[in-house]
Amino acid sequence: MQSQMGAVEPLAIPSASGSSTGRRLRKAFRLVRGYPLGALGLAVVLLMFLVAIFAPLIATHPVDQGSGDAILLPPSGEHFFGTDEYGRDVFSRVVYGARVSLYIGFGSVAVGMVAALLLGMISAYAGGFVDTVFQRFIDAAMAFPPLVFLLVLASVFGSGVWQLILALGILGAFRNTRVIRAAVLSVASTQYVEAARVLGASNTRILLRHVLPNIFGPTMVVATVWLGVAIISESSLSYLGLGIQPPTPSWGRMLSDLRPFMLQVPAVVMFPGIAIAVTVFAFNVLGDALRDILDPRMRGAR
Amino acid sequence: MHKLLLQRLLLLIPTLLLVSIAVFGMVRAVPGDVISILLAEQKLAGNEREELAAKLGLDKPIVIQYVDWVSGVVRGDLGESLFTGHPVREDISEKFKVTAFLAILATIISLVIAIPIGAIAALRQGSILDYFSRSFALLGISLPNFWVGVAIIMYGSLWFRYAPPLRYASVESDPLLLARQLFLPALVLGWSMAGVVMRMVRTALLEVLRDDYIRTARAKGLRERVILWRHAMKNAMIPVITISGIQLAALFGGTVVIESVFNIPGVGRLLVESVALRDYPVVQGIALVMTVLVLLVNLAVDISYRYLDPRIRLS
Repeated sequence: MQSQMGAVEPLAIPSASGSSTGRRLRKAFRLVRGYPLGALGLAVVLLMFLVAIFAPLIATHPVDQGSGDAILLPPSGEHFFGTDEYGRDVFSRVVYGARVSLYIGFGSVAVGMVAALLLGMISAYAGGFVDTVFQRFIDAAMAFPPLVFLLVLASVFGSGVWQLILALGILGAFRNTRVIRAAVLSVASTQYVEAARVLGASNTRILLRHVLPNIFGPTMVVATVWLGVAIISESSLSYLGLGIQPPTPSWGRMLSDLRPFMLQVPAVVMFPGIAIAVTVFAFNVLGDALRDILDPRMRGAR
Repeated sequence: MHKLLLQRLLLLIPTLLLVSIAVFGMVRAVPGDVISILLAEQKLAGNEREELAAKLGLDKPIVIQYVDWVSGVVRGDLGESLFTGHPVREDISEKFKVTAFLAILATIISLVIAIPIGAIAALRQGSILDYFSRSFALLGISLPNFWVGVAIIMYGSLWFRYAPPLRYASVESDPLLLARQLFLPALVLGWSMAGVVMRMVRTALLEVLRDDYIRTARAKGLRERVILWRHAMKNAMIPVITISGIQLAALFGGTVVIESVFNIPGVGRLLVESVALRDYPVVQGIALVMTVLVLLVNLAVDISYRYLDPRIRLS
């Protein structure tokens, strides 16, 4: 696809104006044309960020205060998304829920990626005995049923936002270390790393200055996909009664709590689900686009 | 080949040891103990605590308990449920069959959805059909399973008079009926897996289509359809099989939510119940068997990979 090739060859079209803003705009435009789904995903993610940041301004009602005469109302001009079984405004709760979901998503990815990078780099770079031991450990961790892990962790540490971030982060680290390790191994065997070593660079320097920047691609791809997994996992745990505890408005919790009223107020039950679906979908298509852009093997395919 | 298989099997031993320690330790880290739950249930006086602990073998030092358990496991004995007194092995083997049946059905459905969509995404890159079908596959990952399941049951009962069966057929007596009963839950799971498989089909196909032998096939005038199905697909399927195998393995522990939505008597529900009851031997047994299944499926995938791809086999 031509537009796709253009995306990675910024010099293909000679710049008439030469101004860097104009060039950047054109580059952005080519990116949107080449990856419309990815651009859509990016837009949705940015929108969710804005919603989360400005939640107090966007919300129309208090989050955890309902009124007795507004129970399970369908969507209306007063309550955009209707009200729940306690008479709380679902729109405001969905808006605040964006904060919780993004906290959980980004928090667990941050924890998971830092740990995965450390483990992956150490394992790949140390090699030999350390690598073998690490890999057996990862084998065990990856084969271990994730739900048992989450069930136990939720029972031991309770189920606040931070506990969930930690649990999902550790899980993410286990699952993604291998990808990072493979990426480090392939970078470590390149000539520029060899050159750096010949020049007398220390291991730390090589890892930080040469390896880390070059495994950015796979790391980003894994991270965006894991963001979606984390948000979905929160809702599954809520269904099993182990998610975020009330009164914190999380999408998964809301969806799970509103479940019995699906026939009564079908429209209201849709909204937290739509919020989850749209956000996770956005992270997924964004991850796919990043994969295409960052994976050199896919460049200009067909 | 045999040497490799043996080597891989031997490597499973340390992994399994680690897992057994993790399982054993984690179950006991859960606050609240089984004896209190048992006593509360039987409304017995507190002074029978020691007696009960002794009867269940919970008064021994933890290391001894672990060694007892592992030496039982090695002989194929997973212990007895602390609540029912039934042998764990019997209790979980029936439920594992149902879960495995569901998982395999879901994997087949995911392939049926993902392969055509992946092929379209690779061949008609950038077309409306590409974006539409890819979005459909990715939507599957983006929707919480339980929500789709609950919606199917609710609206199914309203519009199509569908209700999840009260009793599921057993795997041995009537597998066809069971397959029909499990179709909808498997569809929900399969759809949620399809996105990942579709990605792999697309990537693999794009990579294969740039290979020299495809150019050769085109140059000698083969029809596109023959090139795609006889030449490209065959090789593109190798990584797809890998990812499907990994997903199938992950599903042995990932059907919990859908099992409770559709009331399926699988191992996932038993697991959640047993964690709540602190029924240590049952949780340990299920977690261990799940792990072994994952490890074995991964091994099978690895071996089949070598078998399917002559480049790996011969090198």
